[in-house]
Amino acid sequence: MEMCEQCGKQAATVHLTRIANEGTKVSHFCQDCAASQGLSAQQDIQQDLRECRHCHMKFSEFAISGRLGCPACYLEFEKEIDAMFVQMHGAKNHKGKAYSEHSEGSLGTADIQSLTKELAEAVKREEFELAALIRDKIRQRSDHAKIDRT
Amino acid sequence: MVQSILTHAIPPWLCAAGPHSDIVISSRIRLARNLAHHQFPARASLYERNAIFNEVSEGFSRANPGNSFNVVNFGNLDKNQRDFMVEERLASPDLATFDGDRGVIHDSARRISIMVNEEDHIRFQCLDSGLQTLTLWSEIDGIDDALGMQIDYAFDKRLGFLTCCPINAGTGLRISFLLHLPGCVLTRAIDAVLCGAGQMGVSTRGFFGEHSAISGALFQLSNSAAMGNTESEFCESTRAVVESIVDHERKAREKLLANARLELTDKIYRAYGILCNASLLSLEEFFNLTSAIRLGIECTLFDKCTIHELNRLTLFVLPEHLRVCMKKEIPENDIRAQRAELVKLFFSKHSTPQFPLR
Repeated sequence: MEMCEQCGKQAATVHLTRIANEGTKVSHFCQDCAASQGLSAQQDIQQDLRECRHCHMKFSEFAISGRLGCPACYLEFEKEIDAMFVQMHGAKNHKGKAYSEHSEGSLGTADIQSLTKELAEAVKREEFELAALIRDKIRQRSDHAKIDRT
Repeated sequence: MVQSILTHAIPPWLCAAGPHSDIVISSRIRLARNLAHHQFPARASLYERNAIFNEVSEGFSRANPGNSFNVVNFGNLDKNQRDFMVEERLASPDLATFDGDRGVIHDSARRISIMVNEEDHIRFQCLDSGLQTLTLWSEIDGIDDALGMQIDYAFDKRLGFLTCCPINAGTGLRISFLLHLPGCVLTRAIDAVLCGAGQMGVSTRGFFGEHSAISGALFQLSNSAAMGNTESEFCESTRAVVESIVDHERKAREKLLANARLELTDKIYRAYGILCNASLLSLEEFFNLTSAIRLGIECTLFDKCTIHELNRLTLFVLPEHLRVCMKKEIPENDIRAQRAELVKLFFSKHSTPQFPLR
């Protein structure tokens, strides 16, 4: 159980994610310390207007319902969902059954570094169709990273 | 009237067979899957939901040629028929209330069912009596493999199978058990037992799943996490927790029999008295009273009916089954009276050795 970073006495139940120019910062507070700072979860959620580019579900809708709109939402809201995974499952990586037909995965949340490596290998094997797919994925992911920072 | 109780085959999960079936009424393995290129059902248009329904049911026929599965589109059923299937646990209450094309593909034994367009596009389930995990999992695993060859699942190498709610993502697996724990309730050990299970990653709900109240000492326990372990590991760890609860329950029952036999017998026969004589019975009261009867049968303190007969009755006092059983429309405010009448009849017939249920 994570403790409140302000008082260090109570369990942290309020998790604040600040998105600023230099990236994100996550803070953890207990209910009392959060209240003393005037933090209300609802307020922050409503200000979050990002939406999934595929299904147009807003992050604020997801934060209220807990339900995503489409599989691509996982990529759009990756950071927040990763944090949720750690809380819900105590893990953020799948260890079970692999879907062999599509072991690459339909989203590819693999990082750019490993994708670049895969791209080089595909080119080396002269598998240009696959290489083009991986290239698109890298482009998409670097776009995504840029959006995150703005 | 009671004839229909005799002829309608009860689903396998109520058959009181399998390991520890005196405590673990049923075990269920559920697996959530989604199509890669569609929005999740709640967000999809009626048009898209129709496409999803067709894609899944056609894929399923291709994957299982010559199978004996029935495809039931809930859009073509009336409310009573849908609720009937919910009571048999072939479908969830949510599936019955959604609109558009959604439904269930199930085998003739009603042991395996696949919900289409519930919270996720596909939810496989295998439901049977007693404590079972790996056998149910291996069956679902095979069906999942076969369907996965026919349609594109939403899958990510790192995150696993993608589901509408992140709590199911990863394996998409939920293993749940319906437990009858009157010993733990009566010895007041239940809170500690369930709290301990919670710390071991097993959470508790009521009989009919999420949002349902707990009555009759019936508890539904399931794994809380779906990611970070393999399916077999989840099966094993959840099973181990449930086995330890079964142990607790056994000890609690032994303790009751050793220290409070008379009080226990009194409780069972008072419950029997009310069941035989009540003119109005709510479902909650029925569950609470038959919990004592169930315990009585398991502890050989009560022999006026068997567990099989009691399970049959338990299914038929549910509103839609009651309607079918009584062969008539029952207005909402009359259900408790009709239920009481059926129960009275059930027990009165049992008091004569000629009754065919024996």
